[in-house]
Amino acid sequence: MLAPTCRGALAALLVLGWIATPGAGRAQAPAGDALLPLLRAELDRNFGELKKTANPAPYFISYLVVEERAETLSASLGALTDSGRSHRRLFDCSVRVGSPEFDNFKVLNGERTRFTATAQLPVEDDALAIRNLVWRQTDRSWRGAAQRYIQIKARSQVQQEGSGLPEFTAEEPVQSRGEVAKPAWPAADWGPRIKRLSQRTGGEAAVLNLSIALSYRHEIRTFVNTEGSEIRHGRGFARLTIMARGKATDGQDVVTTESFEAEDAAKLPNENVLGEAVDRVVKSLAGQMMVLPAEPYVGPAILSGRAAGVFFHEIFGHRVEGHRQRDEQEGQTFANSLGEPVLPEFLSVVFDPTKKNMAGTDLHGWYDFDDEGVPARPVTVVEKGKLREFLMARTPLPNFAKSNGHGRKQPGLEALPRQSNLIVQSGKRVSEKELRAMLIAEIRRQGKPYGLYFDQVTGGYTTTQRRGLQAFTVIPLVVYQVFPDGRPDRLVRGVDIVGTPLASFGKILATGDRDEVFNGYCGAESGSVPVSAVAPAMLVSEIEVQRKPAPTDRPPLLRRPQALDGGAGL
Amino acid sequence: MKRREFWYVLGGLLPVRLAGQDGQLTAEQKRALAEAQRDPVLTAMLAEIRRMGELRTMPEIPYYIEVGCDDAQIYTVSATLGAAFAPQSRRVRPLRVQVRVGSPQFDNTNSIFSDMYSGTRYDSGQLPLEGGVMQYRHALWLALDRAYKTAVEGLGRKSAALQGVSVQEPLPDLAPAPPTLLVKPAAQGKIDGDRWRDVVKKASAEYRAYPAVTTSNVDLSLSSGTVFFVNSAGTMIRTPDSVAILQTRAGCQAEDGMVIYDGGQWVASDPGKLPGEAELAAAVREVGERLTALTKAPLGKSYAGPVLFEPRAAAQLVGEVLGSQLCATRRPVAEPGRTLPFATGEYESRINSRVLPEWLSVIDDPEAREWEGTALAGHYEADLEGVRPERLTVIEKGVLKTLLTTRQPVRGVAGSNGRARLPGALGVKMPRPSNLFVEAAESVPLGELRGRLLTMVRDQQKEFGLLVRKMDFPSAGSLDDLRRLGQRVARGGGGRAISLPLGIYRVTPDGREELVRGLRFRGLTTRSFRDIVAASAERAAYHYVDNGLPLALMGAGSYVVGCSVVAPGLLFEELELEAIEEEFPDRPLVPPPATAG
Repeated sequence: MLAPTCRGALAALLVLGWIATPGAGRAQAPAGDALLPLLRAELDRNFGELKKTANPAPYFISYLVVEERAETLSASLGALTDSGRSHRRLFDCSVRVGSPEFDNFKVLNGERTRFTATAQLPVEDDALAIRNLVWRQTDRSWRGAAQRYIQIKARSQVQQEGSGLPEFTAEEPVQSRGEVAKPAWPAADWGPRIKRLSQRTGGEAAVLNLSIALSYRHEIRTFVNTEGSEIRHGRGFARLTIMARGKATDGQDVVTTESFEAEDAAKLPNENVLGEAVDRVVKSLAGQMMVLPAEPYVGPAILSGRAAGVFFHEIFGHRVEGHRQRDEQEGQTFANSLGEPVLPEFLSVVFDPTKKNMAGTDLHGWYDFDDEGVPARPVTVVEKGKLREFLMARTPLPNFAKSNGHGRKQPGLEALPRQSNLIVQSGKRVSEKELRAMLIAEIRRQGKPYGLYFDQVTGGYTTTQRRGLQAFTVIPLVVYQVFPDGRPDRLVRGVDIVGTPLASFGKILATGDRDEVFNGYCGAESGSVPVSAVAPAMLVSEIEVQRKPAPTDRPPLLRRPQALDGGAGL
Repeated sequence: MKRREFWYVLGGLLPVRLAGQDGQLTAEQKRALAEAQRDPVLTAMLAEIRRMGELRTMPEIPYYIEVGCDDAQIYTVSATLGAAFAPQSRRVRPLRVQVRVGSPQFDNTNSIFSDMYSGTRYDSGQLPLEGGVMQYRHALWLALDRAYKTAVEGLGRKSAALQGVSVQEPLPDLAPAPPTLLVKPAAQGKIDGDRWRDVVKKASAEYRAYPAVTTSNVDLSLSSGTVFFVNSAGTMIRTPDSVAILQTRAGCQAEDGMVIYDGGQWVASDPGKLPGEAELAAAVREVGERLTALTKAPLGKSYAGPVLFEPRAAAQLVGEVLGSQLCATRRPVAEPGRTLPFATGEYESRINSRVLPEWLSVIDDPEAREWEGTALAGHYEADLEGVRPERLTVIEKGVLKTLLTTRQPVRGVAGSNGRARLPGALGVKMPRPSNLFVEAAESVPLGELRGRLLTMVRDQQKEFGLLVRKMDFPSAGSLDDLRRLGQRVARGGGGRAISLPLGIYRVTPDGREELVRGLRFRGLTTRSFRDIVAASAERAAYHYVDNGLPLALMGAGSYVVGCSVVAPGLLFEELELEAIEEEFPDRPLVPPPATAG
């Protein structure tokens, strides 16, 4: 999705399902929670002093420390290509000056600002070292907040800002120090496994790269604010990604990939299952190299559950993020649709950050508290087609004076309403066989030569701003043409799904009866956050595909090295 | 049969060129070749370079190919105020791959288009961390394929840019160099991380005694590994390569809000040669004390007059100014009418001119390993193009004799003198000095030199002279500080940014010294060095890490080399300094936690 970044002028690409690769290094056992009292003491001292001496004075400060331990491991052709561990503590300080009615976060003219001063903290709980860094960052944050407050105070006299709403919700303070499971380092078990998996190229000459990458990240989030909240919570993220890349003779880059996610690597599928997945990825790449690029097309299609999940994340999820409803630069597709039908009546959409597992798969998008210290809770955004609620952080909306626990961010940015686990519920579920029969009937009804079946997708993006087109793109990896005359399905390549949101919702005719999970990372103004999308397969009466951009460079000029080339035998 | 094939791999050149008059290889050469055949990395490099010969049906044929790999285990750890950040440990194997098409007279390099590749990249830029010949060859195959395609496109764009333009006295693009055979055992270094973590923590804890210092860090980075290099002209190198860098940076804010930073850096090829705990603690205290003193020091006023650099500061200045200006540069080819932000070297076309007083000489000696018991940081056996460097008198009795060069031809110097030490852009390497020695035929004891400064102050009826004990080189500032310094220089009428003098003192005719702050040099260039009036008998060695950035900004750059400078104290007849004038940020409203207790 194209959306303004914190600096306002630049545009950032929102992509669901891309892999964030953490850095590397060596890690220690998790520290105790000596950090929290240190943060509390320094927060109280700084807030107290600033309230006395600063002008404008802060009315709210929060500190968030994300302690992140990560391990990455990747292999290709049976050899490790990357391996590393890292451990770091990222500190963020958010300052609000003025009052909840008017503060430095007020959005004027669509510009979003960032006040957090971010810094790495030592991984050892040394009081002076930590307090010294926290003190400096608080000073920096306050300076930024004060400057912008003074600026917008003046500007608001000559600029219209229609909402008339306060800037900050009132929330109950929360104290919670949950037990966080210790990190479970996967490298020892997984090194040999991913090396073996990376050898399964099946002798396919089409595969230029086959890489198997395992990434594991363990987070502990420690949060304090001046309202009295003190929270410590965390979780792990393990992900195994299989990716094959090749170049067709016409220059088209072909990528096929599958990934598996779990809270820790021990819960990932076993080597046999993964081996089959590698074979599928390789075979699918080889298959795509043999086929001609597909033509632009509009007609009926089935989206697999995973594809439908991404489709909903892009076309729907981003448009119910709360802050977009009060930003005049935004398209505000649904701002005035509360209580109105926005989806077919048989569909409901719930964002549930409390669900850890669905359809036998661990979810990426769960958390106990959001990044503003608000407890996670399920939010039914659409009930039987009607819009009920938006995703809320601590920025109020008309009729919504409280956060619903969706204020999320990556370290270094300010929290905004973001998606968690998007779950599409359907009241019109049919078996896969039936869904396919419905597709064929629809192809015939429309007199089309074929329909499409989107099996795998890698992600997508959308624009929500007024100055951009209200459009979305979903990037499929594996697409088949489905023929009404009983011919077998035909693999095609080189197309992306395009469309406009409001026109697309009405075209959903029915869904399958089996939920599928897509886990990924979503990027937007507040950075990259882990999310999930859960949906059944969907039959749509009309979907449009356009050609992918096509590079024209040639495949490698020399053939792949062979042992007989003389190199190995020297 | 296999043996014959091996010779063919080397283009048939190596044994012929290496062989003595009797056509025989020495026992050492035979041993090195046998050793190379057992090395999977070298074997893979040779095989894939040879396979590039199969491109002979293409319209453009590679005339030169090189492949290098810097295999290194890297360990870094930092600490502040006695608390450590997590150490990072990582194995890297970045590849350096180059294909040249055209001819040595005119090829694809040294044009703004040289690095442009329009296709999709399938190589990762690294060798796998493990594996055998086939895995390495697979990586090299994709890397060379991209390098070749880039070269062909680059040559086309470069030729097009020069279409209809006549170049006066064109220089060739690649100077010849003899093949080098240097096969040494690969590095077997083991890094004792825990020990170093403690060293860094302890050193950083010294800053706890200086509440005026509001930001401070001590960082260590160790890199230990092996360099592999093979080219199509018969050069084959495997040498152990390691560098250990220890540095500290700290900052404070004076009463008036001026932000001042200071630091120190130590570099050695062997971590065992880094300073011991006591020496390190003393160096950190020196920084802490100077910063504390600087917060209270009076602001310096603009000044023109004699300036004395004590030996350490003189070595820093020589490293900063001569170190970079002695390196030959050449303007890349651009499209006609397109302006390039390219600064011509101050020593360009000055060969055989006097650039120093006739009693001063400068020697760059990569063969030297130590000086008066101190290990030097600039020793190496072959540069990044596989050329063996030799001791070079760069400035002889005040006259510039040559410049430090790579295989990129420059006017006035014949061929490479083996100083390609940093990877550069556009297909050319960056020359860098190794160990620079400033030798004075005439010198006086430092005390006497100080006396001469005072005499000059009296003779010129000045209130005071200036004495420099420490420069901020390599700079302890941030990239932002570097940018600000650049802007100040640009506003102040051009010239080159010179690092700030940190330990700078007013010396009154009665000999009293007073630390001042907020001064910077104006217009200090290589020309200023012609006005050196005297040097001290005492010399100091200064070691630093060069990364190709201005002021050798500490902690920046992904590829670094160690350099050393040995210099006497230097008295300049007249230098200009000006007061830094800008708005300073207020000090924080909240007092620091240290003073809050």
